[in-house]
Amino acid sequence: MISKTAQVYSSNLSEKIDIKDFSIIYENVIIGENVNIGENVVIGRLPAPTKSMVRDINKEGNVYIGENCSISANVVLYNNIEIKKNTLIGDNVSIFSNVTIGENVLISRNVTINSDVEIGDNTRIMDNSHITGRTKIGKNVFISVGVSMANDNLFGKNGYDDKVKGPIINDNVSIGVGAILLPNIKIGEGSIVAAGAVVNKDVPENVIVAGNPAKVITRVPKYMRRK
Amino acid sequence: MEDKIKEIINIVLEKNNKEKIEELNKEASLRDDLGMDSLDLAELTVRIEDEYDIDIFEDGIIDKVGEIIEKISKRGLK
Repeated sequence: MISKTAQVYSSNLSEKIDIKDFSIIYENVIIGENVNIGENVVIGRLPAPTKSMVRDINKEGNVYIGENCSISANVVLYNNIEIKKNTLIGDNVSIFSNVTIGENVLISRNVTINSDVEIGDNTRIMDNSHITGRTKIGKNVFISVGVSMANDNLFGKNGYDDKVKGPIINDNVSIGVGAILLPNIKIGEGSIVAAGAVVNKDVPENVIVAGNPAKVITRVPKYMRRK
Repeated sequence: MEDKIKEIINIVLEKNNKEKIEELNKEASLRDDLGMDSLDLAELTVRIEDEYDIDIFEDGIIDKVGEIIEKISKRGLK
């Protein structure tokens, strides 16, 4: 059912869809079957850049939302976003342009995702975490609450040039509460970043790192592996 | 074997700036009495696995020093 107070500009919505009060679905949006859209959601929003922004803004590209997804209240999804089936986007999540999100993904409340981000199937990102621009997150990754990431060691001095790169987080990685991932680092498959760690260089596969700066503590024991 | 277990426990405790144990008390809790956190337990598990090729957490979480010894003994290891 589509609420009377919702504004739907798209004509590419499946019939089995639920849109609650005061949500706005723009014309660049395609939504599959059995999708729930909560209250006060905006989907397909185009960025409105000003001179304060240091990079070119993409205003092209549709938003695809696969079947059986749920988009909770107050979510804002910009343009050129693909969200595959069975994924849940929690309350107050904001996702900027050029983002792909896999199947069975959970993006929990208040997570912010910047542009040019890929998130693999079955990954879970918990409340209040920030995914910086140009980040790649693999499959079956767990990112705990309050994890922060950065992509620019020069704090925007040279604009959004090619050196601005977020972390690459490979499959089956776990990241503990409040960890900080610094720009352009890779976290190897199956590794664990302990709570509060500050990761400033690449992490090998299947190890636990902790501390500031993060150092390898041990390899991941069998009982802690994600697969 | 108990001396080896004590040695491994003390390596982990010392490395992480925690107080070493004098005696191996089988009733001692790894967390509450020895002060191990989840990182220490992960390291302990890996070191025991390296020594005895056994995963002490394979059937679930254990907490007592005696449970480690029991698991190793059950496998007929010394």
